[in-house]
Amino acid sequence: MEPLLIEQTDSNPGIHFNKEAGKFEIKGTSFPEDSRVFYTPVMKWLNAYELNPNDFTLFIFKMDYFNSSSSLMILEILHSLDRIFQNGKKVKVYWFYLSNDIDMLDAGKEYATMVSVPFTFESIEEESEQK
Amino acid sequence: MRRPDTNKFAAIFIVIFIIFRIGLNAQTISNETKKLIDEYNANVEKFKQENNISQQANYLNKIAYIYWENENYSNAIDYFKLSLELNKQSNNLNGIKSLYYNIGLICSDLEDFKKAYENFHEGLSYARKQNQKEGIYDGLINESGSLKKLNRSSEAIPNLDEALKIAQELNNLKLVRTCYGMLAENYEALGNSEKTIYYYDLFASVDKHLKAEQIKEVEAKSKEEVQKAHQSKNLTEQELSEKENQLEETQESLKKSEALSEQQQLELDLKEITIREKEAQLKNERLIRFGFTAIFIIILLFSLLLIRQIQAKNKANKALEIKNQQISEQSKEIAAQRDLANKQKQNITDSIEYAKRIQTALLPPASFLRRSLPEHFILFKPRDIVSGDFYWMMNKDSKVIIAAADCTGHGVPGAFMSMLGTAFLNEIVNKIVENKHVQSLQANEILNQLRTYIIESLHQTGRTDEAKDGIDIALCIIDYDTKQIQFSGAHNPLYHITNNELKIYKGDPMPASIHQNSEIPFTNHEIEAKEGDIIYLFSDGYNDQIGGPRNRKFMSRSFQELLLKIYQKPLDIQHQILDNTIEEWKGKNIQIDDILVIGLKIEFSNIVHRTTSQKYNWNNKTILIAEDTDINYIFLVEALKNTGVQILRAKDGEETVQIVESGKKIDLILMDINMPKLDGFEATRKIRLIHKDMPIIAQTALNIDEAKEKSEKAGCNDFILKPIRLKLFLSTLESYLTGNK
Repeated sequence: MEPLLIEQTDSNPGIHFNKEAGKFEIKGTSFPEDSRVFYTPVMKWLNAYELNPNDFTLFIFKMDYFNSSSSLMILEILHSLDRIFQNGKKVKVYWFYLSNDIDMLDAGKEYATMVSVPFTFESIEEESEQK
Repeated sequence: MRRPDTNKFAAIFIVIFIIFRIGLNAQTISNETKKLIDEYNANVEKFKQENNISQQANYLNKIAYIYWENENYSNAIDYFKLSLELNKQSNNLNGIKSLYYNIGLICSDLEDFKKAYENFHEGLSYARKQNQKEGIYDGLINESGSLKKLNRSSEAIPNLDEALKIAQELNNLKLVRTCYGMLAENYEALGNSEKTIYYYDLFASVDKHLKAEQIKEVEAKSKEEVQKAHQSKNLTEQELSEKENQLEETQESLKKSEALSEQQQLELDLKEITIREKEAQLKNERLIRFGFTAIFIIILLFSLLLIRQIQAKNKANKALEIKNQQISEQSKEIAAQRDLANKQKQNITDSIEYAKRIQTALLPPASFLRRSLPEHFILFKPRDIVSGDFYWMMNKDSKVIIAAADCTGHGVPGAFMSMLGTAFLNEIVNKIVENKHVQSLQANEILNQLRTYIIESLHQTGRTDEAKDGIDIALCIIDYDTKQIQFSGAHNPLYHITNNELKIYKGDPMPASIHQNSEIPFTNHEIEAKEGDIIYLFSDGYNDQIGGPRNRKFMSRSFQELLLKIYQKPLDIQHQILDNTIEEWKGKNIQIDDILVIGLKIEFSNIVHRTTSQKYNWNNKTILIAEDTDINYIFLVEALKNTGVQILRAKDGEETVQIVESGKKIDLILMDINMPKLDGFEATRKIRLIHKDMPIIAQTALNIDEAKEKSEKAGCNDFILKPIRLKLFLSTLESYLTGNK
């Protein structure tokens, strides 16, 4: 399966999906002009991955900001992971947030109640992020 | 002397086992295999008699392996154990180690991890005695595997660290990969996510490397084969060319013999040649003449060719010219298209600007807000021309309903949603009031209905591909009669500052649209507020603005701290501070979303709704309004309509002074500052010379500090800031007209 790599910009997040290397990461800020257009290839890739997923999928969110229409697309990503999880594969979500960004932690917690995939919340110190 | 004894003992066991096991496992093992086992058993017996321990153990192992392969685990273990006894007798450390490992592996297959662990541990101790690295590594890995299964990951980790060290010493990446994988698993079991991710990443990268290597190997192998094929092909080609060479050689020798006979002939011919030479001379002269003619013809042809080429070049130049013309025409066309695009863009922008007028018209007008609300501010900064955020207000009897809303999307799509939202809120509140009573207005009920309206009108059913657009909203109802405040929120909260403390009323975790929780009703919060408290409603655009030194979000915590710092200031000052702060934070970044913050001061006592000015009765009083601008004058007249007061007007400073000098009865002067001929402060100074005690109130658009200082210096009693707030304006006038200051 071809990896999916999308460069991070000011308005769209960086995407790094690589089935062979077992890396699944989405990070940065997300407020594209039309979020559905941006996330269509992302969902397409994930839907293909769903058909033949790894035994263990460790999915990393490192978001700084996403707007309300992007939040709907993030929910769709989580629903896709949920289907893999429901089919008996191991799936884990690591939800990173800046230690002083309670809003991002709250958003993650709200998502965690909406799907059955287990979430782990990890705070990042601003300094370490600067390196 | 001991050996034969134990051997005998072992042999008896073997016989018993064979009888017992074969009878038991007849069905699972094929006849062929059974024969093989019998044969091996015979060998065991034979070597036992020869007292050859190592061969005896060897055949026992073979039998055990057969049982293992056929998944007959308990027999396999028994045979390995017999072999183990023999190996111990001969003190074959390597054998003992391997046998323990094998037994351990079978126990793992049987999921008896405790026994597996014991055997691996025992085997490991023998591997250590031998100091054999691969053996120690195997033991450590196997032991850790059992420990993991026994939920003893903390013991497994030191094992794995040691195994990792060995693997690194052996420089064997595959072994290293196994260690990383198992470390990640064990750390995960211990809940150490940092190390889990660390080792998982290492595992993934080594894995990737190894897989790439595998591919390379396969590629190299296939290359080698291709090369071999090439080589053999080259070989046959070489043979072929050698044979050809041989053929040529024979042909040449044939030719040589022919040449010999020719030599005799040549001598005869020589004579004839001398005769012919003379003839040739004559021929030569003819040839020279012919040559000259030929050269002339060539030159002629050449010049013809040249002429033609020059003509062709001219033609090409002409073609080029035509092409250039075409290009310039095309570029004109492109310019025209660009102009068209610009024009279209302008048209679109114009049309959006028009849309903005409609959207603005739908927002509650400032004058309406001023009349219906106590002291307040609204910071509204759309990201684009039109906005996905909107504020909404309605006044029903003693209640004011106010909402700050944020639609998914911004710009045109957001604005579409905001139109819907405004229309729905109007309809919902009017219907509730029509059908029931104002008293039954509930904040959460309004949101419940808003959600239903949106789901139904956008035909949202919950399918994944449809529009899930919705509205996040904070809505509160202030009841001036009962002094109660209700709040309900979809995602968005309400902040309430009382006694120097910020209380947060969180909105419910769902939008007003289709959602997993859209069956659950919104929560209705009752807020205990007292006079002078401040409440804030807002969208997330303020908190989420990116900027600052590290290009980060402003974040709700900074927003809360800022509000706590400024909440005691007048609300228009707060408005200014919030605006400046976010602009400064934003810096050169773009605004990422619409921004909306509403601040409200709770004032129950001063508010008398709709009939504000009827409270005052100034029937016998006269006010002189010094105001040059008609529209401002009309506003003041309107404001004073129901008070019964008499009104005089002066259109500039000089006229004001003249009217006062004329001795007319005047109880108060409302003095505009910025007037022609004589400004308000000058006029006040002149009037003070005649009337020391005449109440003069300056109305000014200056900022508060400047207004205070200048009006005091000029001799004004008080000042009112423009734009004028009706309630404050009337109460100020009341204090001077009736002397109840």
